[in-house]
Amino acid sequence: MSTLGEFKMPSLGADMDAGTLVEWMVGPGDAVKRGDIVAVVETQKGAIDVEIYQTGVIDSLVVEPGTEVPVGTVLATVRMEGEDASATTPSEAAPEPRTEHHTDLTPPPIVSPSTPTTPDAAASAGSARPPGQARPRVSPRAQRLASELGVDVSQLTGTGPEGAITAEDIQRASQQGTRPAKPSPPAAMRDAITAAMERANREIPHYYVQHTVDVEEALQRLERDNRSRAVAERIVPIALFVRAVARALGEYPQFGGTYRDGRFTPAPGIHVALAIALRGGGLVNPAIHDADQGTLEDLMARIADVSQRAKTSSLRASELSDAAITVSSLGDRGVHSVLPIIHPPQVAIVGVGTIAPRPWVVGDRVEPRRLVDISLGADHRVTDGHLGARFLQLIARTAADPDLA
Amino acid sequence: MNLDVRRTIAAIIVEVAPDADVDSLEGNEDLRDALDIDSMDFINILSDIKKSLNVEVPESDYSQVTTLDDLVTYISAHTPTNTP
Repeated sequence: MSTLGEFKMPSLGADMDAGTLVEWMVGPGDAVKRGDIVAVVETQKGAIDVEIYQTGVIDSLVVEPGTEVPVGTVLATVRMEGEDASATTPSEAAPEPRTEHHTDLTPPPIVSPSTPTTPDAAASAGSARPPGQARPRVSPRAQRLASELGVDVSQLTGTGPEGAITAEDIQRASQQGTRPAKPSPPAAMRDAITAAMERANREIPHYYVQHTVDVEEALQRLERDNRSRAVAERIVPIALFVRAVARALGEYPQFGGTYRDGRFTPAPGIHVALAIALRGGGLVNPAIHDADQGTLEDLMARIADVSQRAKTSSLRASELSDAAITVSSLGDRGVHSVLPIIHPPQVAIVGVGTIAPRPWVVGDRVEPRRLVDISLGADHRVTDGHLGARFLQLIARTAADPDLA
Repeated sequence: MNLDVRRTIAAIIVEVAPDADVDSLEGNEDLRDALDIDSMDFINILSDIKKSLNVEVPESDYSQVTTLDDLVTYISAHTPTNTP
């Protein structure tokens, strides 16, 4: 006996009320399984690939592309076998941990597909992709060219390596006059950040603890191992901190989750969001799911992949809706420390300053060592400074441990 | 020969960081500061340089490639003389 499930507009951020459906990747009669990408939604922070929660066959598409609808609006119906028809998408209900979708990312060169199949390069522009396949890779240059020329990247079949969309594909499409895209204006992103940060400041009583960490040994170990890795697979220090935060959350779950309606809910999984600054201004915070699992190389590949997709507006809904905590790093060209603001409805944020050589006491001498200032901003309604200090200490010890590098 | 290397490197930078103002970059400016290029972008640039020009810059040599001029000099000096 089959039941009719509903695929709804998900919430993709703390203050998202509505989204615009840009494109359907499936049609009535297409088989879909949980985790398949079925639609592209435009938000203030750019275009997002949205995965479906249900497994079944698409029954009908309810909303037309180009329509803006409130979060929770039914976008499509799905005929499912023997499942509860009231199953909602994870961003609305307490989700089960999803392990299948994010554990097999390939290491990312600049242009790499997120699915193994190659679109037929001889097919004309605008041909439908198999249901559930993500948009093909597009290089930052091609993406920018597409914005300038008003080309809708989602309509193209790429001729680059493994179906990637190149600048030449964009040029050709522009000359052929495909339907123009409407990229999110920077002002919209600014509004989204403003709304979230105003809310955080207004509602969350922050406390901060900070610590200076000697990471010299861990970095030396990382550099030694990097010598035998290909350039594109070199591990950068941020991976050590994401790993450290993920592991520490396992022992201090009070720092991973959300606070809503006077109650703290622990996160469904150890999903660590990374604050990624965009060059023209703006910020996106995609989550890396189950960041405590896999090797450091796996984690680095995922960090590089998500950073790349953040810059080309190719993130997925599942990356934007269920972060447990955020890590905000200044990278290697910033200043010594950052005191970041928590991203509501999360309850904590870890700041990582720029690593730099500074004088440090080792034994009974002062030596130059590479140090980093890390900070924890936490919601005082959920935790106190004493616990915060222990959490940050564990992060520090874990990040600095050369045997984990 | 150097001009080809410079052009190739500039093209790679544009590909990786299209909104960076590469045209107005001075040869002796700190490349990453001037163009606001982060460590991931930098690795992508070096990876593309390896693919296009067959020269790999190890981490220990990063301090020798901070400006575009230095990067061009380094790549030119390390370009294999025999093509396979």
